[in-house]
Amino acid sequence: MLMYTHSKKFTDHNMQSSKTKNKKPIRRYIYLLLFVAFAGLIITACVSTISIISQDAQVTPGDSAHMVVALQWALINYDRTDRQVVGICVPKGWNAAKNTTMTYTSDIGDGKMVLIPDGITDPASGLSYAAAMTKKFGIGPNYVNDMEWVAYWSDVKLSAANQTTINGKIYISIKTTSDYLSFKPGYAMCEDEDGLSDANSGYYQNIFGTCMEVIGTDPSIDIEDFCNPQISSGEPSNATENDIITLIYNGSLDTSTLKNQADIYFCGKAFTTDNDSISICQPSPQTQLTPSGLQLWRIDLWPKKFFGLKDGQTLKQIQYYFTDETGTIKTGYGNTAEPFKYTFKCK
Amino acid sequence: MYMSLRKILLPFISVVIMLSCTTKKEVLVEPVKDLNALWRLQTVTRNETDITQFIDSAGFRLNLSPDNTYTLQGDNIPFVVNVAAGTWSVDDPQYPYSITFKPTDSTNTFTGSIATPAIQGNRTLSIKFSPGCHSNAYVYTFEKVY
Repeated sequence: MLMYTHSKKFTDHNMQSSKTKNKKPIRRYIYLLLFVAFAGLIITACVSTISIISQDAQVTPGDSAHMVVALQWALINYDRTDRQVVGICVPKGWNAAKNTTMTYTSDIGDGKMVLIPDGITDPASGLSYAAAMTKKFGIGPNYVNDMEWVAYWSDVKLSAANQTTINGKIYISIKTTSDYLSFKPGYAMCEDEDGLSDANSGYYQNIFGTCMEVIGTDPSIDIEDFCNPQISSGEPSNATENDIITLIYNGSLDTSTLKNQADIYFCGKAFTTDNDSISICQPSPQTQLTPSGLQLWRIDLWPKKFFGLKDGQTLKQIQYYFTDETGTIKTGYGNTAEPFKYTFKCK
Repeated sequence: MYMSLRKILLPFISVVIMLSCTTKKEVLVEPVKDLNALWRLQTVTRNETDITQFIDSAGFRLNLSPDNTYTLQGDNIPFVVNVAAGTWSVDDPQYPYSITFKPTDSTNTFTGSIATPAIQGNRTLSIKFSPGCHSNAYVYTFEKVY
């Protein structure tokens, strides 16, 4: 707009004097130079990279899981004084914000990574860093959407000179719960001046690790497997009968012909803590699954209403199958006669 | 004569000038958020994921009346309270941060935190609550029916 105004003024002026004619290319040249210099400053300020150094492959439930990641921060155009932001993506049930300790060592000093306080937002999106990471990176290669991003930043701003490359290591320790599960942890990094900006590549980076198994020796405890695709999974992993729970049917893993049916239904039994059980196994709009993607269906239900629980009744588990309208095609756990199980717990 | 005029006029003009400089303080009063309305659900999120299209929320209506009574209709999803009628109140009419429901024939109260942003000139109502496990947070965002 500014350039347009200038050139229009110049055009008017041009009619009056031929002397000013020569200024046009000079002005354009100056504008171009200014633009290139300014854009250069913005675009190539720094480049961030993250990689995994080590990550526990197996953890005993209740013990701490350890991860070490390497950060690199290359400063290209000018000196910077920023906080380094590191996010981790782990099962929601771990409540990582309360159970994680994180420290860093680097070429420009060592210190603690602290939880980013409420109210601090990613400058690129205006969202909290955790919400911005959730939106940008999701759950990566994990199959159960019951994970969360938790964001930390260095306890102090770190100063680094232009044309230097800073190397650092982040040491992460998270106290796990007694739940048996396996998942692929996610890591992300950026600095707090640009945040998760897409203005140019290199402002942030994320990576997901290999499968971490947090499994004990009790064979009677169900393992929640985030790493491998399941015909059915339930979300969220922590819930009571007064939540909305989602049971997912992944038809692409089902060897039966159920996935080719027009309509797919839930058929299951809820077990109460007072040893009662309630069956719901009739095709109806309430039990019908909703398509949610390629060969994916889901049913979202409020167990208290769905199973008609009396006041004070609580649920411990739902055992279920997916069926066609006639009930002749029935899919259970691993394509066996065993039902899928969703266990209620709240930690 | 000239002197006496100066003696009278000068103070008079000074007073007029001083009075003309008197500033008036404008006090901006935050409006009371009018939540009295029949509300319908616009979006439902569970743990920040939008699940609106997968749940039966189309018939859900929350009626907040000026006499501080409420009614619920079509509640096929868990809410702060799932008793069809009772009374409601907010902690501060100008800066409401929470809404409390007290069902009829009950001494228990149920509270959710609220936000009342005006979107395109229309007041909306967002209620955040955890009806089941404490680790799950739901945000129901309502728009006015009338």
